[in-house]
Amino acid sequence: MNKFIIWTSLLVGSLFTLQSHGAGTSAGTTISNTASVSYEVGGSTITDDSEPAVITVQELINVTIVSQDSGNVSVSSPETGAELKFQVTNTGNGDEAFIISQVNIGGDEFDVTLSTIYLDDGDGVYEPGTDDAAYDNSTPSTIAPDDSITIWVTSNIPDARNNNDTSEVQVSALSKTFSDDGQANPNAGDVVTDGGDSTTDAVYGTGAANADDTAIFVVSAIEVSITKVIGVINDQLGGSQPVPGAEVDYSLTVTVTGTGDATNVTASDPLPVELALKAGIAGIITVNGVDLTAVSGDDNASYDANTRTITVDLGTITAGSADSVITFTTVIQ
Amino acid sequence: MTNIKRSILKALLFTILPAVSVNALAQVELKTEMYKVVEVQKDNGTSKIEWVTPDSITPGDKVGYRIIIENKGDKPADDIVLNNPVPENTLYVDGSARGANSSIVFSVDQGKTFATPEKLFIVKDGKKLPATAKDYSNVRWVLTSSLKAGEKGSVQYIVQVK
Repeated sequence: MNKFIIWTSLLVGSLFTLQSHGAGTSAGTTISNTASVSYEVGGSTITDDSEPAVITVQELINVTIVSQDSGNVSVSSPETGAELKFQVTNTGNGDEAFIISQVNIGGDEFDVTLSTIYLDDGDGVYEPGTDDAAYDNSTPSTIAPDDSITIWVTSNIPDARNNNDTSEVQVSALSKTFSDDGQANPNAGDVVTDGGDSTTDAVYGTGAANADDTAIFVVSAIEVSITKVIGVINDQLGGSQPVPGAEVDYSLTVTVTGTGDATNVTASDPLPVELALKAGIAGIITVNGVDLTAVSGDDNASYDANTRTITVDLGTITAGSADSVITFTTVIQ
Repeated sequence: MTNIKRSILKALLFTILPAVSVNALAQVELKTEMYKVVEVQKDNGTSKIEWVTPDSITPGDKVGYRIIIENKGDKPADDIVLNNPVPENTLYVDGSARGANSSIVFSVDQGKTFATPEKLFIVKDGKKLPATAKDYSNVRWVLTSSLKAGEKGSVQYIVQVK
């Protein structure tokens, strides 16, 4: 009997390595169970085996779809082809293809115009011109168990939306096997007879019943721009030659356009090694005509002599308000 | 019939005969039944476990095996030991083995040695660890009483499909 057991375990052991993966035992795998008995009758020991009880593992249809964007996705209003990134993973135990659909979710400020879904070429980075193969819902590619695809769900953002307006989009994956069988809204446990791999039945899993995820577009109508101009050069010799020791005035202008408030606006200017702020950290930086010290922590302006960077915290700026003007004087080294 | 044919027949008879004589003694009949083990929700909000026809078995499902023995001979069968390797691609479900008048032991080494759960250990990364249900490779029922002529009994256990 021991010999028999060792032989069976060797045989099934080799099958096991071929047929096991994270998504579970492959559809079509047979599970065979043979019990054995030993007993004594009139002093003789007898052994016997039962007929094997055999079960064929059917195909479990399971899928997850997960947004790959970290947080809300900033868009302009209007914008064409704003993309959301999703990953679709076949968590079932057989090969399966999925039909991807997208819908606007209510309860937000606006709806987008749903556009094309693209299949990523495999690098997970959206590249117009490369990732422009539209996801084909009539003949979607088969995904092997445990494998994933990345898709780009694109939408057109309408005009005239306000800053911070949001639009939620839901993306769903439906088993092609069930769709082809006319079951557009299957429940867990529903079956497509012979719909699975290796002529097994396809069984709708509990995971597949919730195969959707959402992502949110947020309108970022604010645009913050900064310009830098050189003012007076004073070479200390009565002229305006940019020679070592000459003082150079600079001004930075920060402009906020669009609608809404830009919060935590910070202007920073790393000076090249050829320039230093006049008087170093004892120097003066003006913001909208007000003198501030270059010392860190006492006001909204500072100069870090190590990184040679001027930083001005401008706080919240309402779009359309007057430009913020920052001036400072440097010395050519 | 040619001589060659006759000698082949003779050889066949001699190989078959010993097997037939063993079968004449083999009076305990062994049968394995399989079921899908499901939790059925009842109207009053509780649930009960049922063993049903094993259709549409998929990963994660629980399969119940019932091993039925029947003494079809006219003498009692003593020292009955039932052994069942846990099928590949399944895991033994903790505490599921049952059997009246039997002591149940398990193996974690493909049936070389058997012991009760608290005496089973596995070695992982050089460390000796208490074995858990998923480590069991075999289930063995050692019946504590004889099966008299005409008597029937059964043992059972449950596995989960990986």
